Amino acid sequence: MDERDLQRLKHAFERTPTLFQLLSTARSRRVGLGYSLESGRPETHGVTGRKLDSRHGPLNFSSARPPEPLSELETALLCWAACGPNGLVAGDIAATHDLGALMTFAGRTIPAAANDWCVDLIFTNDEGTFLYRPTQVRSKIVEIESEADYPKVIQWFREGVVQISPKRLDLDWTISPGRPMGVWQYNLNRPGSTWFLPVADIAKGMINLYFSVFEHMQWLITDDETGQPCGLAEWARPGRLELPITQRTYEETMLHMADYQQAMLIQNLRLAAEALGLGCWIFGGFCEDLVLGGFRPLAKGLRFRYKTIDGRRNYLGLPEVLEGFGLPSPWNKSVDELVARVLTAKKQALAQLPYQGEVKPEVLKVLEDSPADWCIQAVKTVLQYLLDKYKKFPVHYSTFHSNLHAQVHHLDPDFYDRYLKPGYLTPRHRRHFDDWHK
Amino acid sequence: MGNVVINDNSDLKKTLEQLWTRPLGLEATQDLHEGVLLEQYYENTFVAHARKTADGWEVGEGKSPKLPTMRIFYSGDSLDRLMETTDLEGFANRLQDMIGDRNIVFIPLRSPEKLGEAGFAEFAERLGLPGK
Repeated sequence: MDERDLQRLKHAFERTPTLFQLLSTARSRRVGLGYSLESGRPETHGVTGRKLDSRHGPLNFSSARPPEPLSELETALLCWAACGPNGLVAGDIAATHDLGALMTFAGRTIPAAANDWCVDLIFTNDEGTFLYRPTQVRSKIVEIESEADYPKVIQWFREGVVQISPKRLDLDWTISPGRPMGVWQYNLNRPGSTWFLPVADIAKGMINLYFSVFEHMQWLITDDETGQPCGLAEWARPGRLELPITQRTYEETMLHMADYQQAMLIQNLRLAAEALGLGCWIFGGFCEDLVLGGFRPLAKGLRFRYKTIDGRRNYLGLPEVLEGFGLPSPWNKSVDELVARVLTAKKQALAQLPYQGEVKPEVLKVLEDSPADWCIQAVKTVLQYLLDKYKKFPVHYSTFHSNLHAQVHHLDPDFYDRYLKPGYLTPRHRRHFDDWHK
Repeated sequence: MGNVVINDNSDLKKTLEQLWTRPLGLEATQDLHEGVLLEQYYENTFVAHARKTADGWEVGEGKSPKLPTMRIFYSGDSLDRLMETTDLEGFANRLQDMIGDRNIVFIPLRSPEKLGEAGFAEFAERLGLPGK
């Protein structure tokens, strides 16, 4: 690894501002090198080739400098901050109170419900579109303890990034009518920019937590249409399933859990960009279907496989790369296979445990015996019921979601100097190229 | 009914019938709508089912032929103790105690909205039960 990059990694971990300092200066800064704003001049989007029709306005600006993509190191640091490996989770849940819910003990920089890792990070830049999926193997409790560990950030990036397309996404501001990517994202997906798109699979966590809510919380999942148990009546007895919860309520809960993960990932990215002196803006409220690939006449987006049932798209994932846990799908042939897939993932968690010395046999037994056999059967039953009746799982929401993104870029200080009061760019932003590129 | 002793030879259907179709039982369940179907267990046995009619309860033996609205599980001497009560207040207090001790467990087989439509909110309110 380049000696200068080693020094830059050291800089990132040791000489960037504290969290509280970063929180003080963090702002959305949307104008990067090569961008424009209400310039009054028609221009062609450098990625999509579509015409950007910018009306003239009081903040008119056309960057005089060419775009400057993020370096590999910058991208690796942002990805690591977003959701990179950081060691082992503590596993400090009572063994008798559903410690077995954890799907892995491998920790990331963001938490997850039952550590299910239901959120993955996709990014698109001038080199193409990529999935950041670093290893689940952890070498110690805290992976990055000292200078000797810093290069792991690059190693994980190089080993864990999968190219899913040689092209950037074909989305931009111009798509209309309705500006489905948001009227505010004029410089979206510009050349030189890096667009980060977390994607969340809510079905994965839903299946995993069915085991928990059945065995440890006595939830009785009911059908919203009939109010009756989703095939679970035989387990409706004391100590088994006692509390009726509708499938929609359960799905909403899991949808929120997944959204929180995406939001925490994005906040990590934002703070990392702030620490590095990069521009970053966060945006949501765009058309998720367009991003995932459901409106292909307009744009191909991420080209997720989807199935339309009752007029709604269920985004299932990307073959061999990001195969989600929804049904029906080409890679989940049956309910039995799907449940086995989740259980296999849970068993793999036993490979790396965080406890001192020999793991107590009773702890190991709890983990090995979880979930109980009746629970496995109950989960298969509810899934089959939903699949038979509604022809899909999840029923009310798509398997995959992606609704909060960030774009990171090298800032053009000329815009801020021309239009904004002093103070919007910190010295860190102004000397970014000196610190990170010389 | 204060001396009912439940054992393997007990006629539980009859006991349940006595509990719910006597005036106090009818008074306690007056808010439940006609058609509400309860399934009643003692320990781990389907004992009886009871369907609310216009003027009382129609009690049948064994498991309910249709999916019930609610399952009620009894254990220990809960039926005996419940039948010792002589007024609604005493009945409600005893029921609350037994729910607290899990000697009686209500397991709804309908979502809360459906239970509300069936009159369970008023039933719970009248008897001071949780989860209305």
